[in-house]
Amino acid sequence: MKKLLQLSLLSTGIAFGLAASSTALAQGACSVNYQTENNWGAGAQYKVTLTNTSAPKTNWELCWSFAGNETVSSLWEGTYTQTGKNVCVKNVGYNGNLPANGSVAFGLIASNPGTSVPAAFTLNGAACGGTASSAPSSVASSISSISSSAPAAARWLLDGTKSTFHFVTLKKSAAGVETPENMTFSQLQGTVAANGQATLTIPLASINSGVDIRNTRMQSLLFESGYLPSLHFTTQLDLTAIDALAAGSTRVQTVSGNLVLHGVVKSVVFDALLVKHANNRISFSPRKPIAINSTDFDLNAGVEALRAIASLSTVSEKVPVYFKVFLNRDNPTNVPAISLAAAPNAATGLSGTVSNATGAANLNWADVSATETGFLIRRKGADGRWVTANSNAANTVSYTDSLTVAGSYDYKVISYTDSIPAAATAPLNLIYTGAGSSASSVSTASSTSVTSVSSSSKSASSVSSGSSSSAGLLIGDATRGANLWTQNSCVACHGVDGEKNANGTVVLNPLNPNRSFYRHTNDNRDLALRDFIATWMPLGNEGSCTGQCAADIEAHILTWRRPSDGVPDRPATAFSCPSTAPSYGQRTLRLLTKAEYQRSVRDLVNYQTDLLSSLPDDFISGAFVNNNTVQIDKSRYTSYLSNAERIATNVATRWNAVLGCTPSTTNTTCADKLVSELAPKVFRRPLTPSEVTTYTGLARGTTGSRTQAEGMELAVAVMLSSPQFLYRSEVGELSSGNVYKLTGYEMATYLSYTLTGSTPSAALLTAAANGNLNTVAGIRQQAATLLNAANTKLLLSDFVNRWLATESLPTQSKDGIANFAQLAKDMELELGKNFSTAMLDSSATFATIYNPTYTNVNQRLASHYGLPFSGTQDADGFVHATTSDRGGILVSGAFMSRYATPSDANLITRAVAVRRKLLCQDIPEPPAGVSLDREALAKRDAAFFNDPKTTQRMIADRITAGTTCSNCHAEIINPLGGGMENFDAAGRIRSVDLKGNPVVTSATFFSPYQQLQFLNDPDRVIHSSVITFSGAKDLARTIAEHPLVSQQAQTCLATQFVSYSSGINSLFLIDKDPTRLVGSVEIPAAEKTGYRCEINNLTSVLNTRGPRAMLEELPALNSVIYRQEWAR
Amino acid sequence: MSYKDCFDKERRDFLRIVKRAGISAGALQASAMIGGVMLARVAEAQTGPTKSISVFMPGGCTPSKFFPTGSTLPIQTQPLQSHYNAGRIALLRNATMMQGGHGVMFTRFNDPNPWGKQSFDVNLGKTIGANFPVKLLNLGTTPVTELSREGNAQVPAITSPRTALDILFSGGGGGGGGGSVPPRKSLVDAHYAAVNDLKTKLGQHEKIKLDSHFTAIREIEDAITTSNPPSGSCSAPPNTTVTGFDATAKLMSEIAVLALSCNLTASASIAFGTDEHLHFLDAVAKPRASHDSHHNQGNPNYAGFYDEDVAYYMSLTKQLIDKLEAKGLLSSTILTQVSDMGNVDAHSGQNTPFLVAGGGARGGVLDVSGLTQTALFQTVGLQLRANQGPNGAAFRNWGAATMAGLFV
Repeated sequence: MKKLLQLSLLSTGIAFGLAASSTALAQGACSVNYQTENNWGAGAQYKVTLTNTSAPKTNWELCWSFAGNETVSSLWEGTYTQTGKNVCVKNVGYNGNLPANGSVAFGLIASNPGTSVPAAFTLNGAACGGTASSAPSSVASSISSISSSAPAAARWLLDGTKSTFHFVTLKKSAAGVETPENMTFSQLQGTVAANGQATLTIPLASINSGVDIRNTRMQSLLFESGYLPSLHFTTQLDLTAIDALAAGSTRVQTVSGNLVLHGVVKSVVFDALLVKHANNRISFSPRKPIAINSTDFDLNAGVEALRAIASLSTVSEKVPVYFKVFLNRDNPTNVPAISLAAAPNAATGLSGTVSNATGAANLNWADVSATETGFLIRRKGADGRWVTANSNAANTVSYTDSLTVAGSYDYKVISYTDSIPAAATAPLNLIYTGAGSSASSVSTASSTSVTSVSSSSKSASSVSSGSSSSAGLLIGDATRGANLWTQNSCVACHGVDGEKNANGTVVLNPLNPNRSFYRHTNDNRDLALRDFIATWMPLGNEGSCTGQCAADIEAHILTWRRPSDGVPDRPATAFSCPSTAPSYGQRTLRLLTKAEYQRSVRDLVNYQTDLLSSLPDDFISGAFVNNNTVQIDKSRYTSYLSNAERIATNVATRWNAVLGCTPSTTNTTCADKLVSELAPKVFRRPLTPSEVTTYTGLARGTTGSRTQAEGMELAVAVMLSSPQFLYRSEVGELSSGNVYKLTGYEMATYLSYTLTGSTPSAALLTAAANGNLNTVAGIRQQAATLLNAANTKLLLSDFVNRWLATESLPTQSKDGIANFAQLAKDMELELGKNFSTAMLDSSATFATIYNPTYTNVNQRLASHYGLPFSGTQDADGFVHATTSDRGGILVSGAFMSRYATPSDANLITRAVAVRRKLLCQDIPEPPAGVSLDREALAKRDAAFFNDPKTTQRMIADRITAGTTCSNCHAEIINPLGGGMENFDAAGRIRSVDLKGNPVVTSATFFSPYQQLQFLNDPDRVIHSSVITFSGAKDLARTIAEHPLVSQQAQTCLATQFVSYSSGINSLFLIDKDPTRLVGSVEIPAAEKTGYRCEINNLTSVLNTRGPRAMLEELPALNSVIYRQEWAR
Repeated sequence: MSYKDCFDKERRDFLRIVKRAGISAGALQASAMIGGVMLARVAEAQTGPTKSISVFMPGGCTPSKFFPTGSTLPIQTQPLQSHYNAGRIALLRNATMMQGGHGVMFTRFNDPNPWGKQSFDVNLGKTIGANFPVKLLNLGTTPVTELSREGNAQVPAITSPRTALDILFSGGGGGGGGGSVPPRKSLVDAHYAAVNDLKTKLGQHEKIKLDSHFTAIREIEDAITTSNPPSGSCSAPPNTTVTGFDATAKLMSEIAVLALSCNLTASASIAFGTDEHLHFLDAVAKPRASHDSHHNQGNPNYAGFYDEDVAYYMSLTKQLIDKLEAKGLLSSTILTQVSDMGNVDAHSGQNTPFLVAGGGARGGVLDVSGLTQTALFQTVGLQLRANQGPNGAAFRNWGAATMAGLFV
């Protein structure tokens, strides 16, 4: 190893020397900050910030040499190559531009971190100043003296990230089961010198057998990599011929070379396929597997040792070898061609004796080499396999072997330098006859026992049982996995627990131990965790941890899962009403909302001026507005007064139109008519005698000594700001106990405002007067009539646009669509018309709301959607358009546009809207305290995000991969939203996304229950037959048709109507996420239960008799008719 | 002089000046204007700040981009540079919004346990603003009903400029006129009777509601007069028809400053958007829903949007401070700005960007070592000498902790 280091230093020094000698003018081309971010012993994470202190660059390449034995295992924000200690990092597509004094940063993870970070760098071949100037001058000077003998720079460099090398072994278990296994090396190095001398070097410690312990055994028992660290293959290539090959062409050529392995050099000849991928890139691969016989390389004893230790029946001694090496003719930093050490002179004069008394075999030889690293003493016993009895140090000339079993033994001695052997001495035969025998006596006893193997066998025997079966049956060991977690650098990206680093910061790549399956962003398969690890981990060294290694790490990760207790955290059953006891609503006074006030004065006195911009704001309770809890303070009262006075002033200009009379100075007829006719309509009930007195005095002008005209105007102002008008009374009269029943007039008010949004008609007040609203039947009858009102359609349109929050759509803008506000209003109308039609058509069903075969469009929408525009237009210019692609409240332009960004669909907000609004499933807010440096993550993932093949679904999955995010996102949100990606930002159907990638619409609908089943619950309920859908329309069909999903959606619709009509926030009517706080006071549990029973009743009506019947039933609910004082 | 004494003196001063002006206390005109003019004369005799404007900006910040390390403000606060240079604003680093963070953000102007209590702006309206014509002018750009709180009832923000101006400038000119008594006197008489009648029918909860209504009527009655509102510098802005977030935000700022400068109120609040972030920002380079910027920092299509959003909100703060300064109000008015979240990446209430300007606030960055909004409210309340009276604890829970060094 000492000489290896010297060689490396040599190479490094040459690089420095070349840079210094050729770039005097470029001194200080850059400065580099090479910062250690994390160091866990076996590996470390670094952040490298490069600042260009020279001319602007459009592409950059930063190179350096490690002082130690670091190996880069992954790197981001750049692409890298490493040959020996030399590393070069080039920009990726998006960060090549480097202005003068501009900076760019990249990160990397390296194994075997040294004690010092690199100090010298080159930028595009020019030496950097800054930290680079601190490169020890002694290094440069010490190299200068030997630079003349340095090998020339390599012409071609092996691409270690793309090249692969495998061999396959076949093992047979004691039970006779044969299992082929794939072995590989994770580190490949290679160069081709200008003269065509090609060298492939493989560090044997990088063996990757898929089982960690087996890797260790193979290193020690088979390759003996402790003193024979590398495999080398050398051959001669015809570079002229390769250069002459056209890019894109292939040729087959015979390759003849030498394989240096395990102290043996042997010629290997094979036919290789040469592919010229580009003028500066080729690959080689054998046309057929190359058979390597372990016996040829003195490896068969090691194979046997491996067999014995694993209690196998057999292990193949001949293996097929496959490889494909990529070479790049691109060496900007003049990485030298690999120069193998020269073989030392072979040892000579081997002689020896054996003591039959002690079994000591004394060997002696002559050391005629000055350059050897050491001597291998190999022994062959009765089994015919050469085993290494010892590796002697350099300059030694003797060794005493200890024989324990009588027999005939051959010995040979091999001198070697690095991994390059000299020819072995001729074998020396010694006969050991056993204890008590005389020297050189011959024994026939035989044994395969080898001391070194036995000890290894002993140390490893405790874990052998788990590694003898096929991969699918491997039992992971979490303890081993914890060690492997660190050894394999998992900790670098995933921290100590998948979410956090040891210092508490958030990891680079969070992982969620709770997933059933794992899918890599570059994969379309769902993999079990161990298979995912085996296939994709660790980054940059994929395939280096398979089999037992993957199983062990899987076991370690799964320890982070909460253990199952067999009980889901949240039940998967719907609410069931506990009893048949009647439900009581809240006794209350509800201030008119702005819209109710506006419609009321329009209907009462035909006042058409806008009031929405001058009345005080409404209280928002869930999706809807109502002023159940609002108090009138001075400001609000002032506002009501001002508005009422303005209305009164307006009315005073047109008494005849309002009352059919005008104020008179001679009689009180008109003033009295105001009190007798208009006032009861305003108060929505007959006036009390005292009210008659008060308002008569006001209207006639007797109160305050006014004229009748002044008095009548004042009376209107007083009425329209009065408590009687402003409050919708739902107080009732005592019925029994503490239960109050709404009066007929209160019921008329409730019916009218709930179903038409305005003050009761004369007919309704008459029905109240006649007692027709004192019975459920009477209420239903009046409700049925009211649903025919024109206002009802408008009200339902408002309802659905508030429910889905699409009422804010006109404030949005969309890329490439001029005047989207106008189109948005069209979409709101479309949604409103579709919804009101489905709700009011007596032949409609619940499915009509979600999955009809029509929509309503005007000319603009038809053009926007690509639908034909024909047929009879309604008053708004809309026609009924038959379509199988859209229609319904989900697949509406309004919904799809509302839950989208200006440029693209937004699968997350769409999914959340479906859950929260359409299904009344309360997805909690993202948990506070999840510290994500989003910009840093975005930068890390920039290449992924910018990849033309990366879709929004892939991005969503990537940015929500952490545990706390993916508990909701992995199943509940992302797949649901992803399946609606076939609608663009403006509600149009699309088949390709903005990058031109086909939209994948197939998706799974998880958690069709009122109580969401979160991923971190090991006992979560997963619907037994997976619910799948493809595209938004199919999701709508699923909502309409799938029994569970439909039940949820129907209950939710009923919930929304109860929320709307009662003023209770819908969050208080469902199984709310327990962590959610709402700014208004919760309702009592008994009250909540009562409303939920009512919701069940309504759902039943909806399911059996349709939407319109449900609306008719709404005012006839017990909780509407009967009230009590609930605590607030 | 104790706070209580100070408060009482203010009240006595006010009544004395009203009397000298020849206007009986019971016959102050309905318009807030006359009361405002009277208050101006009191205010001239006061020292120290007497008014408050509370500001809500949504969405937190990225602390490293919000708080400066030197004299240059980073990207998110850059619009405030000129005021920062002039030492007009204090940026409170390391502050906490208790019960802040995602999903629990209704506190903002409130205690972390707001139930039954008054929000900061409401409380100041009832203390330092007790004698002002409009106790609280709570304005907003977007419907929001959980910001201002009076007990268990929320006070929806006023999002219509027209409504705000009605409250500030309506003098009861309509409704018939004429007669021997002001029309509104007859009006409130009728309403008194109706409210009293209703109260007899109701349970406790609804009675509280009607008590408020009753008090409102009485306050209007107190302000009844037959005089016409004065004109001059305190007239309403001519244009109240605006559309879009940016125009609304700026007009609301103008109205708030107008109300403060005309002594129509001592406690204004203004909310630039809502904690739900569904308001649509129309004055940024690429108009968008505020929420989109927050949740798409990892999305290349949204690079830099969040920074731009915060900087935009700070530009609204800047124009508000500009207006206060132009009216000479910065010495008498404390601007207290809070947010719903802290570090946006953490979704929590830690490192919430609090900002204080005017009223003697010391310019610069003040590390408050994790103190919360209650300490901020308490500190500002003391600076304003907001007398809480003997039962103050029943109405707010700001504790005793203060932010040392916030004021000069």
